[in-house]
Amino acid sequence: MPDLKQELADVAAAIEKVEHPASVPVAPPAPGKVRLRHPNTGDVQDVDAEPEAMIPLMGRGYQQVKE
Amino acid sequence: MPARIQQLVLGLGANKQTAIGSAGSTFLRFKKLDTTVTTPKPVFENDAAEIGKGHEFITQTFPSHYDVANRLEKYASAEFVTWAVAYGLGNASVTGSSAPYTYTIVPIDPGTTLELPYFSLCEQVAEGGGKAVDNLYIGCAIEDWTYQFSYGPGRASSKMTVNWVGSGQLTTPSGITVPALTTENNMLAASMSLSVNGVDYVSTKRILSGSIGWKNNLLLNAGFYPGSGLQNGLQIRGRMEIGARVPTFQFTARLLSGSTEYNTLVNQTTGTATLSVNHDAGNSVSFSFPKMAFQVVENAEADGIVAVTITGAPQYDTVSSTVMSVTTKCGINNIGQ
Repeated sequence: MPDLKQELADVAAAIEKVEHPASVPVAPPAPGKVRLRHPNTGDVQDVDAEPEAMIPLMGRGYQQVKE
Repeated sequence: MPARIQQLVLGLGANKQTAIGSAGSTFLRFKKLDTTVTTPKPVFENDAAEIGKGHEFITQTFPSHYDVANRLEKYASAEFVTWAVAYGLGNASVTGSSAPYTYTIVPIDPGTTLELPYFSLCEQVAEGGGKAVDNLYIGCAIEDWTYQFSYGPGRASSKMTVNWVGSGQLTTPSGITVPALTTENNMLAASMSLSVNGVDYVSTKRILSGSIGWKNNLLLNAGFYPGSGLQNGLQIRGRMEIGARVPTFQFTARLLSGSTEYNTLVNQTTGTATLSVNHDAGNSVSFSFPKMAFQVVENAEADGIVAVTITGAPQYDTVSSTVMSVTTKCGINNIGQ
């Protein structure tokens, strides 16, 4: 029984970690790069700050992340 | 004392609104060519057609909704074209730590959102020490924009027209202090480069006129959904979603013996199409279609010279994930951001 309680506590902690991740400072994109994020999936991509690199992602809904 | 139309002060929202009902706080003041003044048009319905009154005349009126819309016609400057395209296509990024800033703009992905960024628009007309007009329209979106170019001298060779629609929400008096006029860098058609399906229409001196456009076909009635909101008892829109969007591209060029347009049409050959205009190295606009076929090729005449008018059929390109992209440079940061 104590093991089951511990297991439940571990699961609750894991859920908490996923739902409310600790805020970690995010480094800005490297010089010459721009950060794009998909508003639905949350996927983040750092790409060259050139239209050729940005357009294929922006066309799929990625938006610029302002630091 | 009446006021002249030239006194109209036009402030266009620089930064996008955080929500359709939240007014913007930064504005760009522009000059324009058309003489329209926006009307905050309240619409009322009546009971004229209803049965049981004993006659066909109106006995009662009922508040319905606000209908706000207008157009902006301007010489094409790098600043205004950037503003119009950023709000008209909807997904704009800006890079550069100092002027000139580079904007990369594509249409919004309908799998991500159906709503364009909203902007606020302010109109003021000073009169007799007060203001004859002082309205702030909140929650506006661009229905369509058209870039037009033609042969001939001056700024009229390169123009931009925008039709916009409001949610109906407005504040009167606006309470806005519109900044000084934006310094605009106009882009004459003489600066143009144009390449379509492998043909350089400028180096061969063939190009005469044309246009590039975008229409969002906004779902305006769907904006009046249950719970969309009221103002003075009249409905206002709580959203403006894109409908079936349509990019357009048409141009007229002189017809030569080796002209390939008819064969391109018959064979449905596709290729890239890029039109660029600039004021200088720091103020420019480039419209790009990654995949363009021809829809119609029609022989024509211009100033007694035989010509051909081509209507393009822009296609969605799966490599660049878009049907059109626009890259601009100008000295203003954060337009549509």
